[in-house]
Amino acid sequence: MSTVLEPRGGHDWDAAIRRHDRRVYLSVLALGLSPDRAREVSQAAWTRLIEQHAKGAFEELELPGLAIRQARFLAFNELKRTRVEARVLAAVPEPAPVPDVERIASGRQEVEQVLAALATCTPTARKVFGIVYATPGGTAALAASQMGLSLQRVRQILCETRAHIRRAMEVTP
Amino acid sequence: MTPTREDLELYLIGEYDGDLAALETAIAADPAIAAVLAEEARFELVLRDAASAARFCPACGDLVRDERCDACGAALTPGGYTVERVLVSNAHGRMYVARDADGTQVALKELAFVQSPTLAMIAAFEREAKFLRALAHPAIPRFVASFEEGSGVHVRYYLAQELVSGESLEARLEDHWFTEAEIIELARAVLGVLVYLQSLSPMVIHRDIKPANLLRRADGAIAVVDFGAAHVQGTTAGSTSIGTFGYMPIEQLAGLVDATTDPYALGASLLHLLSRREPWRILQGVSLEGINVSPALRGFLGKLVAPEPRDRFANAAAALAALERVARGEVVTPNARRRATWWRPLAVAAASVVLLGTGVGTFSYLRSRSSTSTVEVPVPTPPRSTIATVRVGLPPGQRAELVVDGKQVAVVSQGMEVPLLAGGREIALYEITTPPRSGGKCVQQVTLVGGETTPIECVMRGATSATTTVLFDLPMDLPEASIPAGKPIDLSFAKAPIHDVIRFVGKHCGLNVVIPSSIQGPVTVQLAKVPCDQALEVLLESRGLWYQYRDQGRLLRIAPRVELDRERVAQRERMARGVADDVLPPGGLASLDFREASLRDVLQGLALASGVNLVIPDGIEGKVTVRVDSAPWDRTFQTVLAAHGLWYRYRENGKVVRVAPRVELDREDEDERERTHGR
Repeated sequence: MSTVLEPRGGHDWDAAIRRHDRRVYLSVLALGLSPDRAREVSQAAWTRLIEQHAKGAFEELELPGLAIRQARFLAFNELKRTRVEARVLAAVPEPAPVPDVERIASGRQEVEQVLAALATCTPTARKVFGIVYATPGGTAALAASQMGLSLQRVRQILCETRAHIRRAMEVTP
Repeated sequence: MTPTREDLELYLIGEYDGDLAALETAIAADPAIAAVLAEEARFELVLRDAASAARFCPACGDLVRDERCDACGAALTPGGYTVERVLVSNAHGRMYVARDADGTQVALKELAFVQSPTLAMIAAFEREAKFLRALAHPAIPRFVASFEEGSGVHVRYYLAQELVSGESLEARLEDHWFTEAEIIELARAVLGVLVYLQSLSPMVIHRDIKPANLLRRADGAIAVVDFGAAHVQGTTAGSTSIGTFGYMPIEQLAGLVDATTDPYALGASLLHLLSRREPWRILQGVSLEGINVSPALRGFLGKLVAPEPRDRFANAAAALAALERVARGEVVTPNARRRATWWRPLAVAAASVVLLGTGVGTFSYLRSRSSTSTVEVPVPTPPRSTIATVRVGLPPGQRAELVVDGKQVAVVSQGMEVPLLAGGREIALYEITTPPRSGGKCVQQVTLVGGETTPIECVMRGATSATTTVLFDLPMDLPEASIPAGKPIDLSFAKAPIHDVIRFVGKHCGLNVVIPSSIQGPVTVQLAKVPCDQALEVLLESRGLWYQYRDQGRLLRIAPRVELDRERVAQRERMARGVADDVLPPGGLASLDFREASLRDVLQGLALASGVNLVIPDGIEGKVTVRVDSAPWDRTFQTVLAAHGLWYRYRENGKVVRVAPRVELDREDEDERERTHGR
């Protein structure tokens, strides 16, 4: 679900932000920033990208990867500056300007584990997961309306699915 | 507040519907909660990465780990097209919205063989591809590609065509009232398409014009879709009733179509859109007085849907010209009611079958109609048009009598063309009486306009002549030999390999069976005291399979039904071209009993026993189950080949049998014929 924008093709920014902002926000949140700081950092990351893009700094703009790296870079600086979360800093590797091979391999392994665990969920759980995570603009409300379930039931299914996948990943390191 | 892990999870996916500010304050205030949130966020990112890498079925939404959805069978990337969603789905296939490699959206029609579609459905699919490829009109979806994927029972046909975004007029009818001006505009647009179709040579007849097949694009333009029923005038026998009841003229039920067919269906569609009533209800009386439109338009519609073809506009161009007069306020009125013609009882019989089949009840289409003539506007009389030419295949020097409705009208000789007319005179019963063919065979070849040749059977009348009946109802299939009923059999198998069950039936019923290894799988069957033929038929039918039986040698070949249907069509074409199989030299009787043996070994064993030299090219592989007891070697050899899509050529000099795929041999025949004609 990545997007490649042509250099200086500024007209697609709104759509790109709508599509990828949640992911960028989560990646900053995962570093341990508070929710409101994470929101500010992700917004700052988007702003920087737009400016650099307008200056023609990118041959090719691969999203959301570039936005995530930019946001994590800003977040890391923020954490360093405030020295609020030394533990998090120790646990989280400093973001590299480009994704390193080892992290990609590790990420792929995790993805495979998630998919294997997902395959053992119920068909309903798989469909809910697909609508919420793999559909652009997918929400629990959309899943509820498409599948004829209540919103509460869909949220419950999502939490159960996450728990199931987490357990499976713990069993298979 | 102290948020739970579930609260944090819902917060991360944007689904927390509690007090968001209080939650964020709690997270900011407590480093332990922030740490849990960070951990959950990392997990959430992994889930999102997984979702990006995963593929979900565009039809049912389930997770897909292969090229097809295990749950519903929908394809993901057939032929390199990326499926985005399913537009329509039924038992026999789907219509997808897909994107090609360049990102262009197409409508991708799929026909799945696993549901055992009929030969007619496959023919309709191929027909649509053929027509779309040849047509070029802005109101007709552009052909993009056609291809097939898979093999055997898993084969699927695909047809990619321009995606027409819009709403069908049938759907639009639900919340829209059509005005007279809209109806005229609509008629003008559709007639424009029909004029184009009728200007082609040979003329193309859509045969299924109806509101569901007329799409209104976003810009208001009309598109005509679904050419699955289309037909080239004069190229096929009209034995099949294709169309939608209510929109098609009654003679179409008898398989008769001409240039008035599509304009009639357009008229019925327009009446439906105007009156919001099913057209067959309106057309029972053909009194259009209740339709709230101007007399000019009413007269025009009445003429479009006149019961007799001779009372309608001769063709789409005539209808379009009349429509322009209607737009100026001139009145067109239907002609006076006419006597029912000879085909009407046939059509009514066909309609009755349709209606009884659907439980609709009685059919009163032919009740007397009231005439609404007021002012007559001269409309050109439909010209007599040749709808087909029958070219009689006769031995040189021999002549045949042509009898129409019991009267001799001509004597024809080899190569003479006999026109079958429509328009001024309805199609009649033609009988061609010829001397008997040599060898007692009584098969006549008839060449229709467009070049298609169809063998038709004739009836021997005494020892001096044979009569061939040509009624545009030419038999489409060659007669099939049925297996003998045989003695009753008990079958009790649970999850047994189908090869073993069929071999058992063959042995019990005295049948020699050949089964290719492509037919696999377990079968559970419980039958008590059932005749052999019925037991076998039930068993095969449950798996989408059927048989080909040869009386000589009691040879039974098992194959997917669709494969046999296709072979029958190919065989019919070969017969029509006069291609005969090479005769193999006489040999002994073969007795074999192999279970999933190498195809090459079985063929070589048969060749060895008969003393012929066998040439099998590399690449011909396969396994076959054969249980044959004292069957003629040549028949057995042919049956084994046919079971694998193979055939042979025999050269007497050296007694050499060359085996090759049947399609290759057909191509060789075709090349040879072209070379001969070229000379």
